[in-house]
Amino acid sequence: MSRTLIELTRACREESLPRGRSRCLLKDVSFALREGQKVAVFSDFNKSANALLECASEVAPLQSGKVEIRANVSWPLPSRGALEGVMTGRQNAKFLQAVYGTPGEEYEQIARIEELAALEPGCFDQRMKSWGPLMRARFDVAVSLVFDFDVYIISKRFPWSQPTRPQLETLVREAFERRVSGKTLLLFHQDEEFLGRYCDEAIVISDCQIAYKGSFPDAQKWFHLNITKSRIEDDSQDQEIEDSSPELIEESPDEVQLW
Amino acid sequence: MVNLLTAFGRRVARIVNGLALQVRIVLALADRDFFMRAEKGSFGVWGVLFEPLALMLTLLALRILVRMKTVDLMNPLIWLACGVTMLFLFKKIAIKALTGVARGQKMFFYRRIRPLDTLLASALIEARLHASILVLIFISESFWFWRIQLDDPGLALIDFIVTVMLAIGIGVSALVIGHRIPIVKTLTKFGLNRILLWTSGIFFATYTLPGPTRPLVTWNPLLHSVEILRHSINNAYPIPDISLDYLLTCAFLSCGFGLIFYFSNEALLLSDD
Amino acid sequence: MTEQDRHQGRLTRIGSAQSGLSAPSLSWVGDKTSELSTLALPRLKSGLDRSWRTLLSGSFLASLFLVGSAIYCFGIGRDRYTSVSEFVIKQPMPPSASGSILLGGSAMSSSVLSSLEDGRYLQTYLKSSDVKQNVFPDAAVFKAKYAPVAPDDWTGLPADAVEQDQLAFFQRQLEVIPQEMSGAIVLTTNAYTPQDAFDLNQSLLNQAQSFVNEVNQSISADQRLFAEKQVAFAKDRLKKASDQLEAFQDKYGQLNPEEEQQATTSFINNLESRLVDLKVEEASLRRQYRDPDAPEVAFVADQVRELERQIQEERDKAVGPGGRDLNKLANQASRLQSDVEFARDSLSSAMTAADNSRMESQRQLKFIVMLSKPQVAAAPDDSWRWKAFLSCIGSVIVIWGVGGFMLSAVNRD
Repeated sequence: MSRTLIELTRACREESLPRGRSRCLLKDVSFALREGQKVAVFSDFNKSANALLECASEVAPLQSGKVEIRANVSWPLPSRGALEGVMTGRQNAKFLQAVYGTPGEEYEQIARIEELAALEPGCFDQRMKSWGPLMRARFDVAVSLVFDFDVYIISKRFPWSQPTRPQLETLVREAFERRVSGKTLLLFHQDEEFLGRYCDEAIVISDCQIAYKGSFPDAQKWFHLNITKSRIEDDSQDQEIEDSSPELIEESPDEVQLW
Repeated sequence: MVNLLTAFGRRVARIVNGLALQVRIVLALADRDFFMRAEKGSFGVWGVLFEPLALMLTLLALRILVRMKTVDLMNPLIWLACGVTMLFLFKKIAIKALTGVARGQKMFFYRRIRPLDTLLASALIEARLHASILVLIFISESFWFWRIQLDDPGLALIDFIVTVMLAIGIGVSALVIGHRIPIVKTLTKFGLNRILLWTSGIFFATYTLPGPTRPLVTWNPLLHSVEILRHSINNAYPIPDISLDYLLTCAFLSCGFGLIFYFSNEALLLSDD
Repeated sequence: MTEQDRHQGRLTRIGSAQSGLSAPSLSWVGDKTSELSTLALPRLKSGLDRSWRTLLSGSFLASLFLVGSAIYCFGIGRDRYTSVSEFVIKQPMPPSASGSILLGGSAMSSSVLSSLEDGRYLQTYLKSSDVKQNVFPDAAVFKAKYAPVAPDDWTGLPADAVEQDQLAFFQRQLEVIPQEMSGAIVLTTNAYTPQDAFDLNQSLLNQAQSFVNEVNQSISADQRLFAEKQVAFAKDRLKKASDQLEAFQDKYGQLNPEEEQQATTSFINNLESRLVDLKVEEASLRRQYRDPDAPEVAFVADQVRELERQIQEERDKAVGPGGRDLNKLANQASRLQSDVEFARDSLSSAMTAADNSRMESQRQLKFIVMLSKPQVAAAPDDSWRWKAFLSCIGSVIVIWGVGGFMLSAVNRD
């Protein structure tokens, strides 16, 4: 019997709205993620799925209930996190490597981040606030693929498909594949082919609660038959951009565009 | 038996790895914190170093103007530096921790980083900064007067480290209190800061006070810290009613109580209000 | 240049760089855990550089230093043996004056203060070259006792050590610490064998005893010498004054000028009284006999004249320089007498002072009272190992804390 790595017990998560209102994202959700499981998340409301991922990785607090984590869990990849715009890419990479990296492999891992970010020569040693949003997005992805976690929590922003640049798409996919091989996954993504490729099981969130749990094909079928996508727009950004420049192109809430 | 040993070995390895990780995290946060301060200041990195020095020089000039009684047995600059440095060290670690959770909120995105880590990182930076200031002043004074006097370097180091421990212990409690009871920040700014300033031995030496009045100030462990540091520089500097034991006791008690208080409230610190 | 332009330029560069590569040909080098791609190989060519960097990194050097110091302190370092004795310097009859109140609440007794004072003198004296010379008269023996022994070649006195180095080394082997509260003095000696430590402690105790006695004896000897000189001087002066008086008395007999002068004055008074009577008789006869040349009148008148002449003569003899000059003699005699009396008084005082000095020196003689005799150490003293190791750790902490901080500040700037 494999051990439980993440366990949510009667978790409730709410989102604050203007004028003192709040919106429920998760209500009384109990969910356990075991070692080796690869679980996809379907949801009628994207924010509920994101809330599940954030609570499972303890990025966001619960209003009630509890979450127990017994493993090294990633943050919802690829999130900006707490990277500082006044620091260079290398400095931010070094900081994260110290927190999440493997001791003794500092140079290798920072070189790997630089490689995967595929920045222009010299940009890696410039302040991140001088980068464009696409460069920063690539950096976020690179950082998320270098460190070793027991549980990978993948958000829908993960750039699985980049049809305009197949070579670099392959680079990211290969890095992703090698990282998640043999690991526990919790994925939420628009690309169901991507979900189906890596997940054996799935859960369906409907009306802030887990409505269905089962194998991936069954859950997918159930989702398409029974659930209509929520009409509420995901109108806020998932990740605020630190120190954005005036010419910044607005990031879409969908999959990250790297190029 | 072999299984037991293996399990024990694994447990020990886990503990060692955990400690090593904790150290790496604190060092990384300290590095980041130092960089951010250097970026914010007008004079960059050196501004971080010279801010306490500027205050010290101001106080020294004031002292000369007011013509206060010369402190025997020690150069006035060294005497003043001991007091100002230790007080600043304590305030920067312990009092600043009242806003520690708010300042470090961004860092808590990463699950491995906790409010205690940010406090430890801040304490590390402040300790290195103030130790550098003390060493710089000491070396400058030694070169100026062509005389080196440090009678008990071991005592000076222990005193410094215990003061940092005391500040961390108080800071850990302040992390929780400052986050949960915001009014404390105002009270501290207008009350505690002034009490500390006037009772920490910055402007007076304990042996110059009459015996019956000493209990009014010797409750303050910072006073002990400052006076012991002065005594370590010149063993002839008298320190009546001052003891390292009291400072050690306060440091250990504050650390112990602070950590218990912190761990029972850590979840509250990380939750939204 | 906008992000788009930069992006276009980069794509062109990447495209040209990777023109020979197709997606599937990106291969992974190494196993999954190392995760190195061929693209990463150029960066990792500097593996050798990295190993040098690791070797020269601060943490490695610090670890190396700590490991080295641990090996030295707990492995290679020679055993050190310590011998401790405790004593107090006491006077048989402490002075009556009480000690002054120092810092703190209670007054310390004068004996404690006195012992502390002697202890502080001993702190300096026992580390002097005189004591070293007395304890180790032969420098070769001293060097032999403390010579370095393998594997710890850094500890000990080198064979080519000069006098100053030998003295410095000797001073490091002993510690004299007066105890503020009790006035006791703790003497600690170190050596590389238990017997040497014990012998050194014992020798130093003997030196301390000699020092205390010598100081006392030399002071009291000086005082006694001075007092005796004063007595001799007073005796000599008395003798001289007595001789002068005796010579005077021999010259003028057992003359007592005062009595002589009184007798002369009384005689002259009697003559004057007789003169007055004769003058009265003369005046009466002149009234009785009308003839002034009458034989009765002339007889009395002759007596009056003779008496007047005798009185004048006696007066002249008493005070005149050719005569007995009794005033001058009286003064001289008085002076000689007072000289003798003064010399006698001086002698008496000097003898009293000499006697007091002798008693005083006897009273102030100090003694060393052993509270704890030195013992031959049964086991080596390991505290120095921990002190040295912790000092190394402290040095690393200070160097890392201060030096590392300054370096990072410089690099960042």
